[in-house]
Amino acid sequence: MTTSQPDNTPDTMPEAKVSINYEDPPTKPPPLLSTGVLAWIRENLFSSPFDAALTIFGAAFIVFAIVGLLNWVISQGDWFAITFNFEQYMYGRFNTTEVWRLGLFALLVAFTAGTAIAAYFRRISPVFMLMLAIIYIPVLLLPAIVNATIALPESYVVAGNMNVVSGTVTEDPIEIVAFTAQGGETVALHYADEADNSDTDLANIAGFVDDASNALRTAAINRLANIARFIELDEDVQIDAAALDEGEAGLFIPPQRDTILREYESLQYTPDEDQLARIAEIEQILADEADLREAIAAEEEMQAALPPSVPFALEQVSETDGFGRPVTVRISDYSQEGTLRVALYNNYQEVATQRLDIDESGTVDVTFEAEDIPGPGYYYVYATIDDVPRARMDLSFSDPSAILTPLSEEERAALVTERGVLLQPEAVIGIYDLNNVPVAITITDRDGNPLPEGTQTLEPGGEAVSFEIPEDGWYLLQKEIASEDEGVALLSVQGLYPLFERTTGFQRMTDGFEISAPIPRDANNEDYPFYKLTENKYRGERPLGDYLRVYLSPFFTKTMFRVGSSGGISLQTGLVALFIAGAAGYFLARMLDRNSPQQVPQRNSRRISTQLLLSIPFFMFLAVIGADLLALSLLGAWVAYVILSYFIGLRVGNVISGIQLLAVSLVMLVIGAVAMYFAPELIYGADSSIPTIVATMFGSAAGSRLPITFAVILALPGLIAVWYGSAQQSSLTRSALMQRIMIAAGVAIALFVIPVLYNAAVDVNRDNPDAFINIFVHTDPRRWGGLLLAAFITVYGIILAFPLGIALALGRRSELPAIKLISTLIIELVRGTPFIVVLFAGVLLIPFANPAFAEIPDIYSALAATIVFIAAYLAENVRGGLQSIPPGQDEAARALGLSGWQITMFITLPQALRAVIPALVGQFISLFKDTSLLAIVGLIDLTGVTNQVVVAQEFIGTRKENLLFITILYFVISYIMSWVSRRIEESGSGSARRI
Amino acid sequence: MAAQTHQDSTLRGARPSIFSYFRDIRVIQVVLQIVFIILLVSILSFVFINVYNSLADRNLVPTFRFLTTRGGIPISDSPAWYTPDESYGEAFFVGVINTIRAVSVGLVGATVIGILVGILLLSNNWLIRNISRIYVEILRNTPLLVQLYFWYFVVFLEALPKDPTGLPAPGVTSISWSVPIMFLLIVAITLLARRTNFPTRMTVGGLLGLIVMAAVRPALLDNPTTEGIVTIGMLLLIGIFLLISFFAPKDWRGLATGFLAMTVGTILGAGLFQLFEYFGVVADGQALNLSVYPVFYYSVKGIFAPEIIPTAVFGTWAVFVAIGVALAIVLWMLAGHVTETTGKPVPRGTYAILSIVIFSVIGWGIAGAQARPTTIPIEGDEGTVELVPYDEALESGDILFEDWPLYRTEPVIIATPELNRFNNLEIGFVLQPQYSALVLGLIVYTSAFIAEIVRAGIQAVPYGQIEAARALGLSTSDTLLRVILPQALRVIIPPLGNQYLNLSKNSSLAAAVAFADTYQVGTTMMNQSGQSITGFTMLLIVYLTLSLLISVVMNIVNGRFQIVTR
Repeated sequence: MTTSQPDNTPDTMPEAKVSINYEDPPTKPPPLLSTGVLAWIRENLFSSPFDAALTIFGAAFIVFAIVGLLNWVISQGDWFAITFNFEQYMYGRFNTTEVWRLGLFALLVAFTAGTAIAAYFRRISPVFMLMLAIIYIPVLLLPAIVNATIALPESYVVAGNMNVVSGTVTEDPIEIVAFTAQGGETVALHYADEADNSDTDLANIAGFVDDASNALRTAAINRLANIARFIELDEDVQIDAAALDEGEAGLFIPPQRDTILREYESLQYTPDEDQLARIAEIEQILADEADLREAIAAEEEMQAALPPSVPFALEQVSETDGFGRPVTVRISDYSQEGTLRVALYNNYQEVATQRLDIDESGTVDVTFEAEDIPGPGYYYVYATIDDVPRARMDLSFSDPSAILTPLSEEERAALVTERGVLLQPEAVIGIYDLNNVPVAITITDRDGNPLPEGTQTLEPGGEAVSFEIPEDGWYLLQKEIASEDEGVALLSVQGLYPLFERTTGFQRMTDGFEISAPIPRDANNEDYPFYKLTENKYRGERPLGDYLRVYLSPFFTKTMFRVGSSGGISLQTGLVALFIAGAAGYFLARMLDRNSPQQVPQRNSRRISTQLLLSIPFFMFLAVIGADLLALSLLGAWVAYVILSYFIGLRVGNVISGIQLLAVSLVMLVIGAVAMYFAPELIYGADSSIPTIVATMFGSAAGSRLPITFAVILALPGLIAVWYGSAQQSSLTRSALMQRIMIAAGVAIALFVIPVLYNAAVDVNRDNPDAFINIFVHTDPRRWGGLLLAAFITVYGIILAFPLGIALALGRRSELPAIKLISTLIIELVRGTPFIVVLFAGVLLIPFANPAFAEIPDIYSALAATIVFIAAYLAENVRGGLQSIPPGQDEAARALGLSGWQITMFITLPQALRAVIPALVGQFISLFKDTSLLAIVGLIDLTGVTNQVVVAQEFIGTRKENLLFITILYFVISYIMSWVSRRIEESGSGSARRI
Repeated sequence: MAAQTHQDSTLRGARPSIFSYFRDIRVIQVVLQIVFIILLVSILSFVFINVYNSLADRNLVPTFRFLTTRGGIPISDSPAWYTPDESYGEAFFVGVINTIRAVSVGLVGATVIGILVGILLLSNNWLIRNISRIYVEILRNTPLLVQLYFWYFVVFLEALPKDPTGLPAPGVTSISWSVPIMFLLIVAITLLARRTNFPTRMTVGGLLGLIVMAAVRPALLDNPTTEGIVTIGMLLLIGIFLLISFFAPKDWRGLATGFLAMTVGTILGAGLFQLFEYFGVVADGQALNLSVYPVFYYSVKGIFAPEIIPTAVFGTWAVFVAIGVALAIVLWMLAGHVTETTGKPVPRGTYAILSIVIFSVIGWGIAGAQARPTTIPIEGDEGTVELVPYDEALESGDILFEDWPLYRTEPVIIATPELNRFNNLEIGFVLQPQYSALVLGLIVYTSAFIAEIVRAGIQAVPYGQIEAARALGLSTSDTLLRVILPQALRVIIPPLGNQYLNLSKNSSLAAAVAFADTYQVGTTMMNQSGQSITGFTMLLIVYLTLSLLISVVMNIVNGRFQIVTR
């Protein structure tokens, strides 16, 4: 910075030109490391040495984990198990003719959820839509793109008239194989050229491989592995033996040495004479090489010992140069006494030596004989005095290029490998004379009539053959090798892919092409072998293309286009429904909130969305259990109640919220019980399980008292509504009120009677699911499974545990000692017991509790146990909520003159429930995860499906894949719920109150 | 007016009608409770009678008598005395022992890993924080059962090798002459740097270098194919640390310098050793050869670990240790009293530890000097028994593993596992795959929840506390130990107790991995004998006792950590 001179000293510096710079100095850019990405990295990843080490460690870990996982997923995992069992994972063994119920349920849920979410947020989030599009469009388009661009992988089949032996397995090439094909497809066969060059190529084939091909491949792999292991051991064993000879410890510790030697011997194989000769040759080369190395080392030593200046003259003096002639070397001007030794070397080998004593000075000629110099080579001479090297000279005719060089590392390794290979069995492709015999190939239809192409012969080195498939169906592939030719042909086929055998028919795994005609039979009336997955699995390292084409695309096709062939909905339909419902919800919310009070602008829409979400369990009830008459009646009663209340003057929101919901649910339960008590056989078929059980439980049916039931059903909710309504709305006149009650009652009766009339009119045969859309049939609970079962137990476990949990919580806080004690006892007893014990007790003991329960499906026993278990935990949650309410609330209510019951119902409980919403969501997630325990008591939930799938013959060894799949399912669902819970928690108690 | 009313009521009360009692809230409450209890008891007894009758119809009247009959339940992971011929009661007892084994190890492991991950969740390092977050989320949001299947079927039965694999791998390794040279270098650099305080960072760097070199050197020596890669990698590392030591902020320099010293020292040391060999000071590679025997083996058969065996003289030593511990406690309390009364700080921890250590050492010596049998009876070829002196028998290897405790001088021996010819464990301690999978699964699953609790607990301590501690000049460890932890623990302990309860209950999932715990033995027992009511009662008793025990302990601990208000 420039400082100005003070103004009051002008005379001290009169001439000084003071420049005042008012401009700030140019701002320097901040240090590179303190802004932008670098700063972030430095601060968050490398802030201290320890931090840096952690980062490096973490990054390495992530890379290792992700690369490892992806590599396994793409090139090794067997994902057929997931695609094939997808339906089972979703809904167990749910009757295929009733899957439409689930579709309906999914649609209803999509609509409800879409409306609810849009109504709740009241705006269309572009980010959300973008995310949906980013996820959805590629997933939607992926199967199509993949199928169009990537060809299906090759299949390999073996033709031949000799057995293929691999280890202890012997496989017989099958002459006639049945396969399914679609009309217009081409089946093309050619020799597997990519496999018949060497065992390495054979071991590397990847694709669908039949048993015999797999035996070939495994034999090659085993042989290569044995060779590699043998060579590895061979070197070590030799080093070890050498070390032992010299009295050293050797490479191996004694207990290990025996094992290693045994393994070494077991891997060795007795070679034939030619091979023995070659082995001897190689061993000779290696021994020579060892000698050569030694000689080179000696030569180097001698060179190093040479003095810098030669103490005498060394020259070649013979007149005749060249091979086959004597050579004379002269040493002159020496000035040393001792024994002179002159040695002739050829290629590091000492060929001849001459010794003579020399005195102080003079000249000596040394002649080497002709036989020492037989031919061209690298000749040189060393002169040594008293065994100390003194001089070295190349002879004139020697050829430096002829000098021997030791083998390079690679050459040596190649020789060692060759020796190892020679000590091993013959190559697999050699043993079986692979692909050297002509194969006659015919494709016939299922009756044995050949296709128009007739019999084509595949010659070694000849063209590929192909057949055009005329129409969908079974075909037979015959591949014959003439009996005089011995050999095996490995054929690469396009158009033959493995099948799954299933109850409805046969499904081609690669594209889901399905055929229901039976397998053709041969003359002995036996099924032809067909190309099934157990024998024709994908083998070998899988490229990404094959992974996409064979696993990923069929999986997405299954989820996206056809959830069940019998009426389930696809994800697209669901998403479309979600969008439409979202739009509807958006406008609904806008419309509803137009008139809402200013303080809470979103009040109405939020209320609607909550109510919609609350109705999902009811849809589930309709879909999964089946809509019987009672369910419809209850629905009718419910709607009636709502309408009734509305006409009385209550708002819809007030009618379906909080404690009234609870009260009405209880009433509905009572109604249900009463209805079933009075007239079970009128309402249900004889075979429906729950109602019969409940009816039996409460006693036998006492004739037809249907009218009473109707009356009760209609009257009770209405009475409740009137009770609340009259308490809250006094603006209506008596006549208006009566009028409204009459209208509402009419609607209610209509709603209730219509199903009954429908039932009477259609005369539904309950056992015939084909009769129209028979909504009165109960689905068989023993067939529920997978995600559906998990969702059922979770949703109903929580909902039904709610009343019990609240009762227990209130009981525990009660001032009455007996009730308090009993509630505490129940809560602590259940909470101290593992869920699995409770479940097991439920499944095992409930059937004993009442004769009527003996036939109860395990699912209901398990649900009952779940309800008790969850209720204890809910009770503690609710108690926590109750404790969090300031005592002032209670006191104020008392001061207002409310009774104890009223205080609980209207003051404390609603607040307590709001406070514990996050805890409840946590409970929900935890229960969802705990449904996996149903597998232990023998139910087929997600984990149970996995346990079943991995023991199926086709999917043995796919446990990793199945576990990964259900883990992802569990994780995604739980994580979404916990995310929602966190959002609720983060938004604080205020928004919890608004909900 | 009030008096009048009062009089009225007393007057009316003087002639109470029978109905007025039913208007009295106290009477109503009592009556209601009685009705409730009668209702409950009648429902329960109805259900119980039903169950009892159904069972009696099947000839299965609930009784405890069956417990003494032969169970025939094979348990692979059982104490030595147990055979399938033992009774149901004993089988159940083994189940309870197994549950306790799993739960106790699980609790410790889950706490340790949970705290570690909880701290990592709060790390300043973005990457580590998110990795631990992912760890927690994945584990929390997937069922324990699926995780147990993963550990058992995928890890312990598939991923582990079929044949026992030694850890570390058996063979010959080389120790380097460079090790002492490295330490000399560190000391030299310390002196050169003229630091008064101990150069922590440099030491850490040196150790880091030591680890890297220890990992790299064998590869250099044994495997020529990786030599090139390793050399390049090493040069790169040295280069990076050279750069750091020149340009990095101060904190890093010490570390990098220490690392450099260590790596350069290694190379110099190797060179020096070559020199020695060249001049014939060291004979040949022999001096560096060191045989390594595995300490652990892992395979699908389980994990073989060293076994700790108390010998015949263990009792003597134990007495000394006990005296040492008792003295330590007395010293601790005395010193505490002195500090409290006089205000003088007494290093009571040091005293206590010293007392224990001194007594242990003395006890070890005295126990080792005790007389032991000097001759060993050994069965000869013809079935004759000869007495062989101990030293001879030791040399000839005739002492059986079972007889070790009789003859060895140490009070406690740690026997490394040894395999026999069939790759089965001969000496050592085996952790069965079922047990390992269960314990590992429980630890990993519960650790995710504990990590969240620890995170929340630490975050609950106001940041001002940490700033205040820093302002007072407390060290990082003091801040953590004396300021953050005591406050965080108050928040942490109650939910931690819940997680402990969960872990103990979740141990019942052992059934999924075929580990014979209480639940598994109990259900087998119920299925075989049909005694379901009795069986459930026993299961309930065991798990409730376990839960009660844990919650009592946690309540006591909680009580100690809560704020004492006056």
